[in-house]
Amino acid sequence: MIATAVSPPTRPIAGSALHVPDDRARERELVLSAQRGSREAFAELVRAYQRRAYAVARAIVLDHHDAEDAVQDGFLHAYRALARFRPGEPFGAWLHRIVANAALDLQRRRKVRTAVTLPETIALPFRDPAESDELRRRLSAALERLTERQRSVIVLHDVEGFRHAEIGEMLGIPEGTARSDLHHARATLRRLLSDTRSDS
Amino acid sequence: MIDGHHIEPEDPRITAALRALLAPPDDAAYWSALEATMLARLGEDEDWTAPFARWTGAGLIAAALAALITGAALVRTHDVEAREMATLLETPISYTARVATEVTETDGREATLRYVIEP
Repeated sequence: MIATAVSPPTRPIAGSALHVPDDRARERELVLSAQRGSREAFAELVRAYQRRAYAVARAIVLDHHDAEDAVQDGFLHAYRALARFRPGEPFGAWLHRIVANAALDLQRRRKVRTAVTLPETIALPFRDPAESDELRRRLSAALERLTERQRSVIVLHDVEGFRHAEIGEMLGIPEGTARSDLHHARATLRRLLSDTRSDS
Repeated sequence: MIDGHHIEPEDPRITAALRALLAPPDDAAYWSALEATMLARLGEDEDWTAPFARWTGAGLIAAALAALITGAALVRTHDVEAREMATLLETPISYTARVATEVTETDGREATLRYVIEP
């Protein structure tokens, strides 16, 4: 029986409106209840983590609908694997790994299905530089020029505020590789978008 | 190249654009709906596996009962076989011993008689 709601999120993620629950004791209580079969407790964990899980998935798959699918798959996998989770460990890190894996798996399946060939150069014409969404449009195209891993790393680091070690754990790569990917991703985007300006 | 000390610095303009491009939906109704969808999927998942869980339980009980019955039957068979074997083994030994005794006694009497009769 869950008596109280999970503590309101207290720690903002750098540069993001997202939050994670700080109350580890409460989180542990919820996890233990969920492990004993409480759907209500798991629902609270879903409420507490779904935005952050979405951000992790979106960093990997980019597409909103794919991110949504990956989040659902991730939570379903987490629910099935809940008995194997040790309540003393941070639930968020465990969940994010599962969601990241679900997103990577989805991405692999999509790639096999669509087999899209990327153009050698960004074909978008440089229209009115004052156009408010010009940077965003060109950014979408520029992101396609990064490797999938570089794309995930720069979004997870610069947008979501994850640390290199956390990113490495999520994506299954060494921390140094995450640093290197971030360096190359930033450099590539800067080069590709150097002649763009935005109104913002 | 990255050398451990230098990482290309963050471009705030690009980061802001990335954030705007990939921002999670801001609508609370969206998250409520996503949560409901996920919980419904969990429910479906449980509903799908529940019959198997029940079958698993019933199967385990049936298997345990079968094992008990088989075990009891084996023990009983073993006892019967052991008794039969004991009977089989005991009978010839006593018969042989009796025959051997009888033969020995007969031989002894004959020898005595032969000793008495013979000049």
